[in-house]
Amino acid sequence: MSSFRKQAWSHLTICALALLAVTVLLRVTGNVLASLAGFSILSLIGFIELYFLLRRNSRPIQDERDRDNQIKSQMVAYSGFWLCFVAWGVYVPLRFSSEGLVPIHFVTPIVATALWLVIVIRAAVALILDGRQS
Amino acid sequence: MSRSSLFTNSVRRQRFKHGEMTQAELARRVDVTRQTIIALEANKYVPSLLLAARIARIFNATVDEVFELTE
Repeated sequence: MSSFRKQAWSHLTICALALLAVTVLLRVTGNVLASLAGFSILSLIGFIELYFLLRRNSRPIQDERDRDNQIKSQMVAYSGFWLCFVAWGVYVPLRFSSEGLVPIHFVTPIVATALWLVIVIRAAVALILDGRQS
Repeated sequence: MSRSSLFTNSVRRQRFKHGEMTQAELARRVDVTRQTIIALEANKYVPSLLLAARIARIFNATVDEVFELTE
């Protein structure tokens, strides 16, 4: 398995773990804001990147095909992000009216959830593109 | 017809002509992953001009002799 595929799989695994942690914390605490602590698992991605960067072997981390696939997967991920962002921007005023108060648990999770969404879509699309060429 | 199927190559044949060079060995010599060589040989990936030239040089051939535009 190439480093590119390993990276994508590790990102997906970490995102799945983060989702699991958020769900478990939500069940246990019953508090949306407290459950967001589960997203801290996403910080493991930083260690994964360092691992691939520092690992010393003769094989390239990424080659031109991987970079092509990465660019395409990033474009799809950011398209997905913006679609969700706009949908959220339309949904919230409809739900609470444009002059209503939006509960804090509707706003606070946005950053972590958006990051999670971008990582998941990017890794999944990268794996699909790579798989179609193998 | 996909873009990659219009651009065929004889990399696999050339590898065997050159002492049955493995995909891993070719990948190492042109500094790409083995998966890219697999994708190339299956005509599922169109290489950059730089990679095509590097591969051709490994086989002591011109780019034209290794890669062909089939239109």
